[in-house]
Amino acid sequence: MLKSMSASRKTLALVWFVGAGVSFLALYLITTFGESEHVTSLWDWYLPAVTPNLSLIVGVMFNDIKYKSARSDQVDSFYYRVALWLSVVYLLVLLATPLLSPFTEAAMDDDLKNSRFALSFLQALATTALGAFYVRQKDKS
Amino acid sequence: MASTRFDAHRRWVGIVPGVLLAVLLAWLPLAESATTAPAVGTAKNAIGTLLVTHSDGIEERLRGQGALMLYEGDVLSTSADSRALIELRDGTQVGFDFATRARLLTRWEKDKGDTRILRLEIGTLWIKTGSNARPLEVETPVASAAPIIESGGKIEFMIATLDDGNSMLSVIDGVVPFGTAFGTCPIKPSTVSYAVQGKKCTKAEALDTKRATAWTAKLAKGKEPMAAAPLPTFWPPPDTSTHQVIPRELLVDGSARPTTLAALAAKMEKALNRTGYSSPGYYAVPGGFAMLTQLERIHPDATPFPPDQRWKIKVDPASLSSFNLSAYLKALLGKDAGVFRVIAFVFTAEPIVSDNVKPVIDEAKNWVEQGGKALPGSYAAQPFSADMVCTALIYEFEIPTHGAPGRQRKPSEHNGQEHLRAARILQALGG
Repeated sequence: MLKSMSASRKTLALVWFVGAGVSFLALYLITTFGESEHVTSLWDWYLPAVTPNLSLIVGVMFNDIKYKSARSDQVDSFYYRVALWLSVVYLLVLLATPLLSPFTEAAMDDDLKNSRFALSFLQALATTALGAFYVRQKDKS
Repeated sequence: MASTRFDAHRRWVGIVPGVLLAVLLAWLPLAESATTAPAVGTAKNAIGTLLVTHSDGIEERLRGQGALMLYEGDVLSTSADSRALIELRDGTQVGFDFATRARLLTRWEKDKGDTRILRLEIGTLWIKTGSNARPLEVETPVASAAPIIESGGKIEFMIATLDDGNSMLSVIDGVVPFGTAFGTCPIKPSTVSYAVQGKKCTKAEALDTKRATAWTAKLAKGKEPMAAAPLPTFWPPPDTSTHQVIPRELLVDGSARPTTLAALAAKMEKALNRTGYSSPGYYAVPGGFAMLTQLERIHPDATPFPPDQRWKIKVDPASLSSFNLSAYLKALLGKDAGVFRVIAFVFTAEPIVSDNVKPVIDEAKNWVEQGGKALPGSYAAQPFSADMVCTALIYEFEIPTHGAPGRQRKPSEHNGQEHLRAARILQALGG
């Protein structure tokens, strides 16, 4: 089953911007109203977790606007669903990490450190899925 | 074809939440790792201060006699005016001379099992093995000494690093092979040998063993149960958060008969018992003694927590089973700090000047247990002379949020009198 490339990219971008935005808002509130000790470690943890993928999405969006390359292209919906679900899972785990920290015995800094393994794994999968999604389309075009 | 795609879609819908759940479950147990390694020895005595730095970076200090547990990877150091004695699990005694630093390690070999290693970085170590000694090695930057342990045979030697980077081995009893990269020489009793960088050890020379080991006598004496000062020392006291002199009239009964230190201790213990404290720990100070209360959790206004939470020295995370939004938000924002307190009542005529060493909450937890359980007879009959003063030294600690390490609160947000009133100790003394 084929799906419009342009619509797929828009949905993926929406998922990433909403997911990263909600996490950003949560961290902003924690660092604004919370004790200042966690500020550096929270942002040090968060920024590398979303910046590469957001940069990829924004880059492709602007590329599409400039060259109008993907307007009529179609993509296999399987790849689209894989990229979408990996993104959703990754963004949920990203948001859950600081929000679940109050329930653990460890300090938030330790929770953030501990989560890096799981998050790096998920981020690698999500990034690869997004990348393969775009590369495939480029080859086709 | 359509049905196949539909099945694939259903499979994904089933798998993705499963992956999410598995990742969350795998992540949660990482939250805290507990150290369960067995102790490799105990620090028994320190003339001055023995600083123990555990492999996780936590520091503990021993002053006077005590029983500070030592673990694999610990770095032990004495300053230029301190000496210390430790005992390894097999009964081997190790003395640390002035300005000595060594690390406790273990090497496992299939045919030999565990070999305890003392990696001497600087200073002088004195080692005396017990009758059930296990294999032991002392390493210096240029040499190693590995005594030949025989059943029932005792070995005593000293090993030191010298200012020029070389090492010196003085053997008092037994035979100790002294090895460098260029060979090993067995060093016999009452001889001394040097390991020079880039060479084999020097020919053994005669040694005046009595003179060489004179410094260890005082350390070993301190270990004896009937030694002159049976209480561990609390002097100079660590840096306080605040303090308060307790008026003399609250401590003496006003009769013509002089108050003894035993009567004073009994009165203070009674007052502490009435305010919910368990038996205090007794320590020696110059010309008097100190009573330390158990580390307790207090409210921001310095009043103690209710008994079921008062002695719990940790900040609990938010609970999932009895969820409370306020507690959750406090924990999330790092505003769930716990405040803790120890009060040390010091009875002495000497001026109290703290040693500028910040107390550590993990040490303060053990102050009562490491102290004497009662005031010894040698103190009991002494009078509470007119120049003696009782000063309450308040040590306040804070665990800023759950899971975070504790730290001293200095200065305290309350003065000493407020602390003593909040703890109802002044009232219990009749103030």
